[in-house]
Amino acid sequence: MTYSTPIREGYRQELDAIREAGLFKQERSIHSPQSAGIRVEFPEGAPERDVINFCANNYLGLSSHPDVIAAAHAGLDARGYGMSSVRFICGTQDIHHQLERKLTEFLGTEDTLLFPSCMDANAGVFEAVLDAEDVMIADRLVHASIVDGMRLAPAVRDTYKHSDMKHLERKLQEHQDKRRRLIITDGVFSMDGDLAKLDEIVALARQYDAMVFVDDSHASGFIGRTGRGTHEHCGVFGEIDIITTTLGKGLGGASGGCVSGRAEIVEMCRQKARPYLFSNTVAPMIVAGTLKVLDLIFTDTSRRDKLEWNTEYWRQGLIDLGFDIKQGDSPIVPVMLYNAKLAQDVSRDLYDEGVYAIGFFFPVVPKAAARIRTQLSAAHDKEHLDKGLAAFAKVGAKHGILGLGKQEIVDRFGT
Amino acid sequence: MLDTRTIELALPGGMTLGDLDIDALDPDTMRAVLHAIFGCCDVARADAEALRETLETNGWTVRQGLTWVACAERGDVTERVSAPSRCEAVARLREYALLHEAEGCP
Ligand SMILES: Cc1ncc(COP(=O)(O)O)c(C=O)c1O
Repeated sequence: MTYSTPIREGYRQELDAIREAGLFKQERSIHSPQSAGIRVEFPEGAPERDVINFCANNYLGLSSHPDVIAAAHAGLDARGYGMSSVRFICGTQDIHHQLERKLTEFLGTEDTLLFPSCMDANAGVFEAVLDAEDVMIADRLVHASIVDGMRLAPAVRDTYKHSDMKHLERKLQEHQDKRRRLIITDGVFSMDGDLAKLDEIVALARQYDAMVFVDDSHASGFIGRTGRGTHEHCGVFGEIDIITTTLGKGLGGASGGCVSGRAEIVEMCRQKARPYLFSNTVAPMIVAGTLKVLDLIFTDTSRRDKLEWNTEYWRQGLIDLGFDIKQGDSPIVPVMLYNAKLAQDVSRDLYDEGVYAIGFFFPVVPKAAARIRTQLSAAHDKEHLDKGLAAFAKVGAKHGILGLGKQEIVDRFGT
Repeated sequence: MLDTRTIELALPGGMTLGDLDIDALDPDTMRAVLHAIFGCCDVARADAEALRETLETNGWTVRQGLTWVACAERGDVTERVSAPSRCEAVARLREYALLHEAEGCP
């Protein structure tokens, strides 16, 4: 027997430790398509409940859009279910190239390469384009997949304090002896919903001869006047050397990701990025669905405009109720509670009130920064938002936290 | 228990030891120095040579040397760096560990 009792026991003990630390993740089954309103079974076996969803990355509300579904159906009929191959053997269809060209145009870059996911894009890109004489200088709050990608790359790893341009400049000066410098940042940071200062980052990159990498997963499709991303918002469209993004959030929400940027860099990924070389790419129906998503948003900004309106209304509503929220320009609106147990209790009570919003606490977010992360969608109507605000008002009053600032919450509940 | 053995070494070129040098002889440094001394004795020399030759036959260029290793562990995350000096190893370790300030949201 290979899976012996001590091995099984060892895993069980590790799982028990995760449970005891309060870090055990439990999936909640959704019995409906992804949307502003969903039908949830939680805990397993409990009666299903209709709740308003404030925790999906369905920013543009396209996950279940009828035109996207129809396009995916048509793609399934025209190009089949799967490719049964990696891209460079026999896994590339005309529509994969079509989507790559369209993403290139949308993101304002020179070329694009699809990956099975953005996690894979981030895992593969640094190793493919950097060597031991190069340095990666990353914002300290970049996404976990970037941290993993950096671990796989042979270049020197360094970090700068979150969005601290003075610190970044010092690091760039320090690393002038390296052959290539790559500044690495998220466009929108998923914990706090704040935006990278890409205009300042690009200026520093010019001054110190560095390249710029942006993961725009929480921005593509809706940040910026025409939704092209954080680079559009910051006035540096066309000036980012490497952009990675996901098809699994605003751009339809299915799955897939890409590396987009300077032609040579994308070509290096095509030749060397291991998740691209050794894993199947995006399935034909998802390619067809994403092409439709881009059609829908290329010239029509109504969805991102609605999302912007919803975000503003939601932020102001929570502020008026007396919640302590993180300021920002993105549809990620964290409601700060600081205490992990309070975040869990508030999330549970919101669920009882028909609102699905998740609590995050250490180690997912820094110590003493527990929060409920709410995320807006263009699929939300004003009625959803008003119901959501009413639920927050009721639960906030129950816990006595309305009108309290950080110190008062910490004094009352601890960290 | 092994017999205690003493090694006496002359300091190079008329060097004298100051207070700062004595302070530098903390247990970590001493352990590393001893590892280096034993490493240089290279007990498994023949084996190591054979392995190196095999690698070179397979097209690898092999370089070996003594280096500082610094390692940080928290939960199931481990960061490990090697560098020529202890200072550099710990400084780089700190930078790598800072990437894990929080696990982050999906
Ligand atoms: C900033 C960021 N990058 C990358 C990813 C991974 O995206 P994907 O689901 O395509 O792997 C995520 C998703 O959580 C993310 O938030």
